[in-house]
Amino acid sequence: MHQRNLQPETQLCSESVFKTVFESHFKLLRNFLIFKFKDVERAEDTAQNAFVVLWENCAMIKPEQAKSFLFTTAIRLSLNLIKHDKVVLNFELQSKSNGTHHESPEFLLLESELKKRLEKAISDLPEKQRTVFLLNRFENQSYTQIAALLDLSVKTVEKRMHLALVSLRQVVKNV
Amino acid sequence: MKMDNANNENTFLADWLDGKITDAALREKVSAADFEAYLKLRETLGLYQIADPDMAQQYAKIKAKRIAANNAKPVRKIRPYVYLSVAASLLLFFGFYQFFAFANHLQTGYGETTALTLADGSVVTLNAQSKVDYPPLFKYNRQLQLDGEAYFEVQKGSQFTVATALGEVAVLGTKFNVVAQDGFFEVVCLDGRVKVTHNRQSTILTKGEAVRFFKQRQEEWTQNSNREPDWIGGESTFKNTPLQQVIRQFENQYHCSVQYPEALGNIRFTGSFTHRNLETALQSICIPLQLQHTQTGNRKISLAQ
Repeated sequence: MHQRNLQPETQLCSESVFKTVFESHFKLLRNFLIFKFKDVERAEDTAQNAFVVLWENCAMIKPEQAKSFLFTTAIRLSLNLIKHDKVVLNFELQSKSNGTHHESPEFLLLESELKKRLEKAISDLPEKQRTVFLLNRFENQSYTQIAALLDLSVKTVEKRMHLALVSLRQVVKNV
Repeated sequence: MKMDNANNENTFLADWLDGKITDAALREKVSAADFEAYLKLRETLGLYQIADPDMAQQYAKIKAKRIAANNAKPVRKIRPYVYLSVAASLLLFFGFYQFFAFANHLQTGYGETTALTLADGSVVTLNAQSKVDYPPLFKYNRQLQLDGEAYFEVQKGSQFTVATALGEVAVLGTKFNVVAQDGFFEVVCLDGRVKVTHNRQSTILTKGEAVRFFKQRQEEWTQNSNREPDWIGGESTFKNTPLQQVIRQFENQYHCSVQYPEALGNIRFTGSFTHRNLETALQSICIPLQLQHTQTGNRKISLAQ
């Protein structure tokens, strides 16, 4: 009886299962932390540490619980660190390379102007609004998924989305 | 109503981004300039993405950190020895356990009841023709084996388990009565909560609840009295109990053998009989069920309809 129960729990301790969990969750976790910290290096460092903690506890966690464990751990780890000084956004948004842009140089210039100001505005958003907003926009996470990930109500997620949009709208005002 | 409106107003932009409300609906909520700006915003955001991580490199870093973390904890290095010593001590433990487990033994004869106070202060009262086995270090291993009927008053503390051939009763601290005899398993909970396990199925009983397993059937009922069972006071009481079990109790009390047609075994009996006078006891059973009884020999009684 006991033996059978134990089997699926220890699966995470196998290298291949752990790797699969890494492949499926690392990117989302790392990007979430980037949105949170506005700092790629710190985000990747914290994300790696969360996976190390996951490995150390692999016997107690089922693979399907890994995702929420990783997010909880990462948030806890980031609390442990002394709050960094105000970091300026150090990640840059890339163009999606679908190569079908045939816009005029003037348009492209305006576009990149707007992009810069948008990045600045996103960086200035309160952390809670920023993480929720970017998870939705860049990671295609639905409001429900975000709510589950961050242990929030869907209503809270919607409110943060709304407020973020209202703030960002100021950037586009003068275009 | 007003609340609702306020809430909707707070999130309509979120609804719009999510596609829950259309562009046209948004247009009605905001000014023309705002509407344009939001469209532009959505479009611009859609053009960009965040650079993907180098997955192989990240995985390599995690592995390196894992190894570093391992080295930081020397305990992990000697794991094989840890397992070995755990295995050895388990072996040793089970050796001792086998040796000492249930080394104490108490048995009652016909028509006899006995009370026993265990090391932890719990009291077990044994009914006639019953026996109980328990380990010497009972304080630390509150588990005992029962065959027959007994009433328990358990002191609060760690889990207390009564194992019988027919199932298990697990409690933390409470009063209850157990009968486990000849395929008849009955537990009455008089106070607190007990967990009864029979054929791998568990039932939780709370104060006043009772359960009975007999011939593959499970019966549950409740009773109001929370006094100790009547048999301690010299009387056996039954509630809708199969006659077979009633007779069995009777035989245990009076040390005799009772013959009866098999069909009668399933008749249900509600009532009680005294432990002090055979003739009165026999009548208490036979009159309500309209049975005839005859003495067929020394300590032999026969029942008939």
